[in-house]
Amino acid sequence: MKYLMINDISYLIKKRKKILLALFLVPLILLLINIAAKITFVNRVNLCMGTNWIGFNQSSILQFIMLLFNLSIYIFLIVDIYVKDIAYQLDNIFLRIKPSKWLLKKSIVFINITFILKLTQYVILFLAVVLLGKSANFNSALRLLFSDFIYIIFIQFLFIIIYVISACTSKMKFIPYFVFAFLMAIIPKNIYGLSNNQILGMILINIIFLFLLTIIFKLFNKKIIENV
Amino acid sequence: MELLIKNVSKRFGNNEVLKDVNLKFTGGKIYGFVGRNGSGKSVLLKIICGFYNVTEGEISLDGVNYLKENSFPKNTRALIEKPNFLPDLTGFENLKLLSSIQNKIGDDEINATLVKVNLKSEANKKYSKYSLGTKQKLGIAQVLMENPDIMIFDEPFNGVENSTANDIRKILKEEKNKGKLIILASHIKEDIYGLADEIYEVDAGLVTKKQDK
Repeated sequence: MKYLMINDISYLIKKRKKILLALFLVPLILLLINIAAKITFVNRVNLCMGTNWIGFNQSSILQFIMLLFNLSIYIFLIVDIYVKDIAYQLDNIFLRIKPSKWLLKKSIVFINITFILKLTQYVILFLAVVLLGKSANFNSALRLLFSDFIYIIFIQFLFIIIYVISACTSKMKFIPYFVFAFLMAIIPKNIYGLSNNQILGMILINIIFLFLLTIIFKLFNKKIIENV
Repeated sequence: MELLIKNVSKRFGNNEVLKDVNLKFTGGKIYGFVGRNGSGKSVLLKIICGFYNVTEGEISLDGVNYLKENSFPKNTRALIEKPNFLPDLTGFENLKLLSSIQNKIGDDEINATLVKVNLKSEANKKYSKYSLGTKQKLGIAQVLMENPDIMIFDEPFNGVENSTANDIRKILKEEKNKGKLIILASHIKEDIYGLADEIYEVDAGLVTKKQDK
C-alpha cells in the first residue's frame, strides 16, 4: 500500500501538475467572477462545482460545463493511475503482488486520492468565500463534499469497469463505452439534491463495483495487461 | 527448478509473434536470447513472466502451469525494458519502497545488494541524478535484492558503458553459481556470447538454438 500510495501521489504531482492546478483553480476563478452575484453559499458552490445540474431548462449551461469538467478530470485521473502501473510498472509490481490484491490496494489508494482532491477543492472554495466576506455555511459545505465525493467515486468505478471490460473484449470494444454514455444519461446529476438513500445506494454499488473489478482482474489480468 | 515452455505460440490479431516455441530451463544456468528489435524476444520474456497469455501451448514452473491459473511465476523478478523508479527518491529509498510490497527483506539486505552492484557510494543520491548505467544497475539491484530463484533481464546492457556491463556480467555469473536461473535477451550478440550457457536466436517468432557451452 505504501509503495502504491507514494508512487501515485508522486506521479500526480510530477506529471499531472497542470491538471491538478486546473481542478483547483477553475472553480476558484468562477467563484471570483460571480462573487458579486446575490446568491446563497450553496448556490455559489453548486455553480463552481457543477453539483446541482437538473436540466437545461432549470440549470445554467455553466453548471453543466463545470459538471463535465469535474467528471472528465476525475475519470481521466483514475484511468491514468490504473494504466500507469500496468503499462510501466509490470516488473516492479506484478511479480511481487497478486493482481487481485494489487487492485484492492490500488482502489483504496485512489479513493484516498480522490478524497484529498475533493477536500482540497472544497476547502479552497470555502476559504475564498469566507475571505471575500460572503456568508458561508460549514454544514452545507460538508454535506456537499460528502455527496460529491461518493458520486465521483461511483462514476470513476463505473468508468473503470467499462474500461476494463472493453480491454477484455477482442471485438466491439466501443460497445461498453456506449453503455457508459447511456448510463451517464440516466444517472441523476444533481449531486446536491441526492437523498440519503441515494448516497447509501451509491456506497453499496461502489462496494459491489470493487468486488466485480477484483474478480475481473483475477480472471483476465493477462488480457487486460496485453490490451492496455 | 525447471521451467518448461511447450509448443508456445503467440498471436496479436493476425500477427504471429512466436511460433511453436519449445524450451527447457533449469537452475544454475544463464540462457541468452538474441535477435533484432521486434523479433519476439520481449514478448517471450513477458510470457515467461506471466504478463501475457499464450495463444497456444503451455508454460510450467516445477509442474505448475501458472498461466492457466492466471497467476505469475513464483519467486521471480524481472527487469523488462528500462528501469522504472521514482525520480525524487534516492536509490536506497526506491529499493526500500519496492521491498515494502512484500516486506521480505530489511535495510541490511538492501544495503548488501547495493554493495553487490557497486552502488553503495550513490545509494543516497536522487534517482533523477543517476547516469543511464547507474539507473540500469539499480534496476539490476531491484531484481537481486529479494533473492529470487528466477531472474529475467530484457536488454540489461542497454546504454551501459563497458565497465558497468562487465560489472553486470560478473554479478550474473555469481548468481548463476548460486543455482539461480537467469534468462536474458539482447539485440546485440556480443552482450550474450561469453556470458550465457545456452544461446538462442529469435527471428520472426522462431526460436533456434545457436550455442551450447
